[in-house]
Amino acid sequence: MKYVVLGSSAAGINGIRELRRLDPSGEILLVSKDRAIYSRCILHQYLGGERTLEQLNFAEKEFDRVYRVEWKKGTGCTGIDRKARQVFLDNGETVTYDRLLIATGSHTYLPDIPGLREAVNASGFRNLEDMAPLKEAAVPGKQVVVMGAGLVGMDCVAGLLEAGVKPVLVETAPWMLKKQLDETAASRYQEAFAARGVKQYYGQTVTRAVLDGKKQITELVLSDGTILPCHWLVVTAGVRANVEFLEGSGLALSPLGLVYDETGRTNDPDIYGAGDVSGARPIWPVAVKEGIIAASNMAGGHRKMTDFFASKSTMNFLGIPSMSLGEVNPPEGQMEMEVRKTKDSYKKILHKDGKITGAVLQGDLAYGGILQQLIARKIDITRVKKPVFDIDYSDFFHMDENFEYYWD
Amino acid sequence: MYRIKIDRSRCVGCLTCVTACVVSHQTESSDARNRVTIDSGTRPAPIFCRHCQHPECVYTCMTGAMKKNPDTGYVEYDKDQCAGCYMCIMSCPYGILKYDSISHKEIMKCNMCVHRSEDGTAKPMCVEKCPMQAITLEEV
Amino acid sequence: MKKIQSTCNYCAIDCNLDFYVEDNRVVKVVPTAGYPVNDGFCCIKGLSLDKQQTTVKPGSLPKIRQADGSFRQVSWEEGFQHVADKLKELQAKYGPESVAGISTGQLTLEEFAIFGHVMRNYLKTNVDGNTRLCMATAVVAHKQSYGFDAPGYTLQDLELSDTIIFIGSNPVVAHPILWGRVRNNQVPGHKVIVIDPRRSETAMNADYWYGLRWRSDLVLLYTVANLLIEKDYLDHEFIEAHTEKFPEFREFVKAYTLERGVADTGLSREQILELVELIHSGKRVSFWWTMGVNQGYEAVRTAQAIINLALMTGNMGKPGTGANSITGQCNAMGSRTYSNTAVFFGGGDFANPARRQRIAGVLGVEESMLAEKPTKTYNQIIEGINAGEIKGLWILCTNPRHSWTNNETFASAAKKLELFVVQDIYDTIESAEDCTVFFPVVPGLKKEGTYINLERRLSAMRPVLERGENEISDYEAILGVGKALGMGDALKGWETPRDCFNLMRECSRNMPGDITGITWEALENSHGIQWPYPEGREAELSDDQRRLYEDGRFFTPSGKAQFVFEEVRENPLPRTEKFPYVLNTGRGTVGQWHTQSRTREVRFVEDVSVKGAYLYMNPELADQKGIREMDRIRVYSANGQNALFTVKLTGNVSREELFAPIHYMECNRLTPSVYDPYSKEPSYKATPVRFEKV
Repeated sequence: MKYVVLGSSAAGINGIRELRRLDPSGEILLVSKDRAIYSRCILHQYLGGERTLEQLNFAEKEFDRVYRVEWKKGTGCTGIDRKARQVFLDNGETVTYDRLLIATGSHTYLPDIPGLREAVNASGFRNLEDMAPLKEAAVPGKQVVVMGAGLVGMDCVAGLLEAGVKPVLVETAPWMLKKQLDETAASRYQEAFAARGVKQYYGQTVTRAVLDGKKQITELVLSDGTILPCHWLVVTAGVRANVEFLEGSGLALSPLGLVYDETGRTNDPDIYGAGDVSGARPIWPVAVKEGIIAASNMAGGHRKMTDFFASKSTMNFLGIPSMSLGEVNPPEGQMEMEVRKTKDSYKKILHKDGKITGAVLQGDLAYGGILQQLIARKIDITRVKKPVFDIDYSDFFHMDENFEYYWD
Repeated sequence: MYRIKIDRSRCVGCLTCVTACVVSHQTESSDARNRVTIDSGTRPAPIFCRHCQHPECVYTCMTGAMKKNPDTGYVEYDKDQCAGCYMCIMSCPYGILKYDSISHKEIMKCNMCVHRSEDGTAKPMCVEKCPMQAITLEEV
Repeated sequence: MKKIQSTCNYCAIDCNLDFYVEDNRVVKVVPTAGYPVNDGFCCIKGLSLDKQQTTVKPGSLPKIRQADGSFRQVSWEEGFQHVADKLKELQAKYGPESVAGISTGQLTLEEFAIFGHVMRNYLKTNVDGNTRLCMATAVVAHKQSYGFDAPGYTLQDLELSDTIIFIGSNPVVAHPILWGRVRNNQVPGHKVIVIDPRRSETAMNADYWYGLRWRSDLVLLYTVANLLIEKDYLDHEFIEAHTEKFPEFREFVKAYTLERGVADTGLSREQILELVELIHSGKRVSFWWTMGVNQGYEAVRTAQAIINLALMTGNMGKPGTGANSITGQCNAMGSRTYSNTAVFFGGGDFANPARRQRIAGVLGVEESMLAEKPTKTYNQIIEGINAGEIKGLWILCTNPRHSWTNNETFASAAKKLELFVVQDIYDTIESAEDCTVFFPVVPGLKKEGTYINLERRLSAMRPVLERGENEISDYEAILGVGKALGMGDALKGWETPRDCFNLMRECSRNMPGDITGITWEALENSHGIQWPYPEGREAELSDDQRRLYEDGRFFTPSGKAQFVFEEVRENPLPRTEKFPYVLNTGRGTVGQWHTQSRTREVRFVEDVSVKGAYLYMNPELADQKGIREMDRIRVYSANGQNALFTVKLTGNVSREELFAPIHYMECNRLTPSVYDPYSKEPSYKATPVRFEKV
């Protein structure tokens, strides 16, 4: 059996581990644009100098040796021929497969703003390759503008602060991390970032990038007319799945990305997909689990993805930890809301009809994992006679014959 | 592998296991990696890391700090590799994880007290100290 | 990072802990390795001492209640002067004994010593400790049987004994580290025996459990004595050489036949005979008692009945033996000897001329300044307030509104006081509700002094954290009032706890508890030092786990231990048709300490603590009454009060008995004003009650 895996991030790497576990003798070929295994989610620590390239590696040091993988690094794909079971690589080679796992991830989306797409001094914050020019640009006296105050944007801002520059932040929404946080939780970060010298513009869009003769952005024009000088622009306003090379292959694609079922299988029984390439739930744990499940089924298993709950995140900017689960900004009056505030912590839990629908924890995340289960599984908590903030596993305690806990 | 079996009916909530955990690890914040709580009927429930067969904390870890050891089955945590993103805290389905209360940098994660044995096998102090035999080390 | 070894100030074990401190913050607490008591382990309370005053903290300055009921914060100087003036004013108006103090077994030896000096010597008034609620019985039993309040054992005896008998004692919950010593016992075939009406956590772990009827312990112990005599299971040599009044005792217990034992205790013939055989077959039999014995209406005699069993079988003064009282509070032992309440500093009666001379000499005061009689007891003080005779009260480090038996009597007393000073680390304690002055003081982490544990081991409390602005210790608060009273030279030599310690050392010279060989410095980073430790005998006393009575000599004038006994009394508060059940009380969990004022700050403990009052009921009884787990019931006590409890079901209590943890104020709302006639310790453990479902 010959497995070909496209992509060396969360889905691809964990897929390969599972393939090797289940099929000790199969041939595994890994094709990736990345030249090293690294975690995209901690690039800001690389930017900030807190971590070396080696420390970005989330897998075994000699991954390809440990898992007996032939690895074509720095190599992209240009197309596939399903009939011939072939993948065409951007170095001109063609490789064949018995089973194919597409885990090519996604790329930074550059919005269609005048000047932006031609600019030479704008980048995303997604790949290791984005870091070198940014590091160069991130020197005192230069103004780096970050467009988009989502999780990636804020990681970037934090990394830039560590690197010694005070970036400027522009965000369309009225507060940062609008998807993850309510105004109260966001404002604690906004104040903390402001105290560190980060200028922040909310409710503003970039309407135009002013370019000089060398296609360098010199200024950004915001929707209220504000003009921001800019030496480098980081765009973190969304991503798009890496599926261009699949156009015309006959694989089903949605407007978001590659389509596959809960076993990871696409409309071709020998081709599987996993991770951000679906464009559906672009978070790390989903990519890992999809990689494992797809690989398991590629190797003859029968596993299904059951956890589709992806509106969850944690963050730790400027030493302030937060956790966000479910819908945290529902329309006024739709949900019951409970808030518990102490000197250092803020907790808000939203619920309706005995079910928790959303939660924000800030300052104290201890034992918060329980909330994800309550929300994702839509568990009725009316029988729990405790403050909603103090609910723990004791009221749901179950142990199986192997002494593992489980949810009923 | 070995797991700590919990006989909830024997637990009296004395917290000797929690003390043992803190004493065993001597973390620089006196935090525990286990906990005991009471349910709505006031019955104590020892909530201990299960070293799950399908460990959500490992799946969610984006640095490789949380790993399942294929030989022992234990879910191991490497604080030097940890980025402090806290995704594991959110992912633990049973709400067992938290970070240390002083630096907020280390996840309080059970290691089966392998540091207490010479050969790296499990030697959980909580099990040794439990006066009620409510927790026992069993092969599964 | 600094490391400071200090002493846990919760229970009487006095574990030592190493506190690691950075930037005046405790970052790590590690039980001191190699310390003889707790060698590298402790319970959750000691481990969590760093949580004290982290979530609840009063201001650092005193508060005085104003006419409109509000409080005014004042400087310490003003606070001291206010209290001093009021004390003098009340004494002038109503007589010297119109003011009183209630101290504690939780403070340092130096703190209750200076309190005893100011209140008992200088003001010539009454001070009793909450040790009255706890250890008074053992004190009187020891004094009468041994000639001095001198518990003889060392904790190591638990590891050396082959037959360990716990009576009214539940160390798994109340003294976990002591239970750890039992678990360390490697004697092959050793047996653990529990005598307790309740199948306690300790009973569950014992080899034998004798679930006798409440308050039938004295009958059982006399019956066992009688049977040991009948079977001639005695150590005649020991009895002859080292005891007195055995012949009288032998005659006395003849009336306690096996049949009577069976009838009164509810145990079977076989059980009682089995217990007798167990005592006989053990080579090193040790008896251990706690509050189940101490808190009764004939408690002193019960404790002495235990002592009698040890004496007659020769289980005394040898490794792994003894009739051993397990103390409750961290410094109960210190309070017994150094509070100047029942006896002089270092021991000795107030009427003893030689002691008067010695103490006056050490303190550098006229003999006339010394207290002339033992204090009025706790109950007399509360009764005195309610009777309008006592108008001023100063309580320190104790919470009688919650812990006093029949605690509504304290509530009514508190309202009658003209001066009510509450000195504590929390102004949130129930007792502070009606105070007229509140003195906020620092917790043990910020002070220095000396503790004496249940095996007579002195250990050092040393400051772990630096104090903030205006923060003062109990010692300084008492000293401040003393100065404001105008004590002048009478406070010379009392300037610091260390000075006070040196005075107390001198007071102990040539007494059974001589500590003249112990210096302040020697206690630091030490293994603790057990008394006696007289100057000049340090080398021969270098063993750090010593016991008394190894030579068979006791502290009575004859040097012999006394058999003390008395007919069992009629229960002063028996069950009736109206109150057909019995309410037993005791520690509920390891984490909760007494009235919870301190442990409420510990999240570990809060996670596992029931939030409101609850009690345990036998499922059969519940079934019969149509009560289910978690139902609420109202319990009516023979003391006239009633309170609400949540019901938890367990077969570990008998059908006639309810068991309520003491950590909730409702519990002692129901306990009676009944005391042992000798120790005046309240009878907390068997109150007639009835109940109805709410």
